[in-house]
Amino acid sequence: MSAAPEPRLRPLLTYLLLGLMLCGLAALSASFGRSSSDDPALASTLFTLRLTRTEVGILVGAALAVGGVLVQGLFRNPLASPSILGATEAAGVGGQAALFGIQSLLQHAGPSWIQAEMFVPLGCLLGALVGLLLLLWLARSTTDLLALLLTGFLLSSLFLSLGALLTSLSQDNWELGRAMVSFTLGDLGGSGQRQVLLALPLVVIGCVAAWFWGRPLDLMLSGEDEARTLGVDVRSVRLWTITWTAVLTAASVSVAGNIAFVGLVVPHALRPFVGVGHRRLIPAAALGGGCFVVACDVFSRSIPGQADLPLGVVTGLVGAPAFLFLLMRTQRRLGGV
Amino acid sequence: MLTTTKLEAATPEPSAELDVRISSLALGGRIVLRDLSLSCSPGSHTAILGPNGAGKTSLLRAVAGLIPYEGHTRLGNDDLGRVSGPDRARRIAYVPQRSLLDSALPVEAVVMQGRYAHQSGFGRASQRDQNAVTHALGVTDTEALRHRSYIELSGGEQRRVLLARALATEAPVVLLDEPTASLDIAHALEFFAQLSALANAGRIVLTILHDLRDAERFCDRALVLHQGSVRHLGTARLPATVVGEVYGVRVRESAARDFELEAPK
Repeated sequence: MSAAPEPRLRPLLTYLLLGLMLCGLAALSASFGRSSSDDPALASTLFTLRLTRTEVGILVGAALAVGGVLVQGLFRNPLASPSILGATEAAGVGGQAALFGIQSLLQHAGPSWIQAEMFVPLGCLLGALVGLLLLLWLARSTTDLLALLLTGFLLSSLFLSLGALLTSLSQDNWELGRAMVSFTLGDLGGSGQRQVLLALPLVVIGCVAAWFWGRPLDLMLSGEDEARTLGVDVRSVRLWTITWTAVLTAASVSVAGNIAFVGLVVPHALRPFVGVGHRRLIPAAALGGGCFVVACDVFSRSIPGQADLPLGVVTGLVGAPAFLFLLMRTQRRLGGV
Repeated sequence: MLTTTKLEAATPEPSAELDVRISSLALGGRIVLRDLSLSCSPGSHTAILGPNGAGKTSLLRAVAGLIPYEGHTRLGNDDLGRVSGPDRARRIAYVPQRSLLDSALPVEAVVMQGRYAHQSGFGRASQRDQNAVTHALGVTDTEALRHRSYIELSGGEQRRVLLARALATEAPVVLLDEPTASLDIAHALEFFAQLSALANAGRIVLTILHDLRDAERFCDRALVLHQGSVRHLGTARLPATVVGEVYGVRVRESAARDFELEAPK
């Protein structure tokens, strides 16, 4: 037991640094923007708006990054993430379907205090669950890394098309159409305090549960057979992991729409610092995901121009090259070159 | 039965016999094993032999509870087909021919995975877990690798770490599928010495092997499978007729051996 303290200390230092970074970025994000006002009331409104935006960013980043850790562990695939596997798109369609369906119902009947948007998180959750279970079923017999990614890609195209179909069907109603379109873009600005309060418990539950499931996921890195002989109930771990990923993805999509690549980039950036063990990686991913999304959002707001660049565009600009780099590295390793 | 007091109630009785009966085992509609009956007593090391496709790996996977079959596997009074996953994991350790593990987990964490079935959901390692890991690392001579990353180890080192993980389970039955296939002769000899030590310590060891001379030298007895049936169960020095029939080769008896290999000290 004469172990050097260094391997244990390093994750703690990383958490501390990430925490400080998150605080700094949050302060910057809440105080920084293109508009400013000398009128104290207006300034306070602007601050509240930016604060909400920052909160949404932190929640979304944590949810997607931890979701990324979960699916990478579950599929033993370093290139998996909720957006690449089609889960965010499925959650998006679920949310849109909920908006569309409930709104159509409410037009004809129903008490006025019920608003369609209250059902969006539920729709997202169901959508993400359906998407992930479909993927699990389609990819059940494949151990091939690329086959899984291709299946996810096809599913996400399918869900995007379904979403587009719903959007075009909803254009008769201007309000609904606008809500549907902003939902698909991926942005932090569209949500209010109420949505934050809806998503917060989902993200907290998802992250804590993910941490608890981290130990069997470590064993699943050896493949399902070996995990089973070591005592892991593989079927239950698979189902629960899918459920928590769906919860996290749904929470994120319901407040910010489709933001890609967070779940891919963040865990990869953090593994060198905290290691590959899930229980160490998950807290770091939650903090680091928040940092990444808030930073991307600040960046998108600091670009000179008339309108804000949608956040999904910025994460895509960072994430797609990172994905390609990882893909090439993995291919080289597998190809033995 | 109560002679070894250091094992707690949760672990199975260490002196139990392993009793495997497989009336038939089918994979994809094809029968790959039939009418197999095998009893192993504690301290025995059984070689499982036979040509490719004879059903050796299927037998091991069936005993490990990974594939369904008609029949039963008992350890003492426990029917292993009816116990829970963790209960089985505490009784049977399995080291597959090729592990899918290729991650940068530290060696210590990999070996600690052998304790999964002993730990509660929260997963804090008890002193007993720590002791089991340290013991397994010591027995397999991997103590020095403890803080290294698994993926950076050589093939031979990885095999030893996986054996350590299997030993950390403290399961009385250890199943190994061609454990020395990727090892050079020095490491293979060392590995066999470790397996013999395990059997001598009272475990039941079943090892799939291809080299008949390894089986003869390191195992007490051999089970030879041929086209899914038992062709020989008994002495590890196979009769020439069995070798000739099962492997389809011509056997020339010869007393002379050019050299004997010894494990390095």
